[in-house]
Amino acid sequence: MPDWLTHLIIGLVLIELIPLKKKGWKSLILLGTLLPDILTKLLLVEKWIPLPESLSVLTAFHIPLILALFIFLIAPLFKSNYRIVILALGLGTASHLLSDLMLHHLDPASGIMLFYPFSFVRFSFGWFWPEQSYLILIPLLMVYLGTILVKKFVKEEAVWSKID
Amino acid sequence: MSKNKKSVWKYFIYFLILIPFIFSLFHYGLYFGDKEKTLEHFYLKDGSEEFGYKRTVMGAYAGEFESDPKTGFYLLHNTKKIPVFYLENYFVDYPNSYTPPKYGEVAVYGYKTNEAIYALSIHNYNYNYVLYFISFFAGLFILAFFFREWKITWRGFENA
Repeated sequence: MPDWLTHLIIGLVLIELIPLKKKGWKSLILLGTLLPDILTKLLLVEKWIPLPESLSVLTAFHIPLILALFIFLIAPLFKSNYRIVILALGLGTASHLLSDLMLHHLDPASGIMLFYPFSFVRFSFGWFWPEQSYLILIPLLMVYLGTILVKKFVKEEAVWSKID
Repeated sequence: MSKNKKSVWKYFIYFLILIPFIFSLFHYGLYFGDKEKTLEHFYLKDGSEEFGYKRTVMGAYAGEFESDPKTGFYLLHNTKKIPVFYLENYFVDYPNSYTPPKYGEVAVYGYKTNEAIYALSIHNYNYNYVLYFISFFAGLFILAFFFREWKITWRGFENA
């Protein structure tokens, strides 16, 4: 995975680009950007305590179909518009999977099973190693700051044109 | 549609999603178990045949072999210290010398036997600990942002 800061910045860019006013959706996009990792990272406990091998099933939370079903199942927990909750969590999660797809893996057969259960082929663009995530983090930060500046400029222009 | 009927309908749809979700997890577990546990054979330099599972194992570098540093090193994977041998004839990444990772972990891809890993390739995740540190704070930020917009109640999450 790229580091969580990269996933977070992708989420923040999405928030700036999507003109939704519904309360709570911003944090759901951000939550979605980490959703595939939250359960998978529970396996890190194994660094200190041996875990049963059956728990390796948690790696399934990087499969689009399983994640989509999971989002449909947890969406009712949020007392808000069901469709918006699914859309926000789904967008965040999709951004996570897309950024994970860019990663290079040591095992040539590694990657994301995009078409599970129809195909077990794992996909990966292999553009950079996980520790090189700064290669997308820096351009993303520039995009994020640029978006904020452009939005501020447009807002100020609108205020001035009203005064004129 | 009456309120009661609507509620029953909602539960029915929920179970329609829950069943494939559980089934997929079971299926993935079985697939993972079968596919990733296929024993494969490989040959050592002396020509002898060995068997192991092809795996990527990640962990901390735990020092070179004292007897012959050129043949491999120790990897601390979770609580186990595993010897990693460079598999000659296959191994191409570091033919003569291996440099340990800087502030990070090492991943070894190769044949895992009960006692050791015979490496096909190795990658150093340099500065990975720095990324873990940054990720921790990114996670905290998201948690704080989330609870600024949502609060936990007995019925689930409601807008704060």
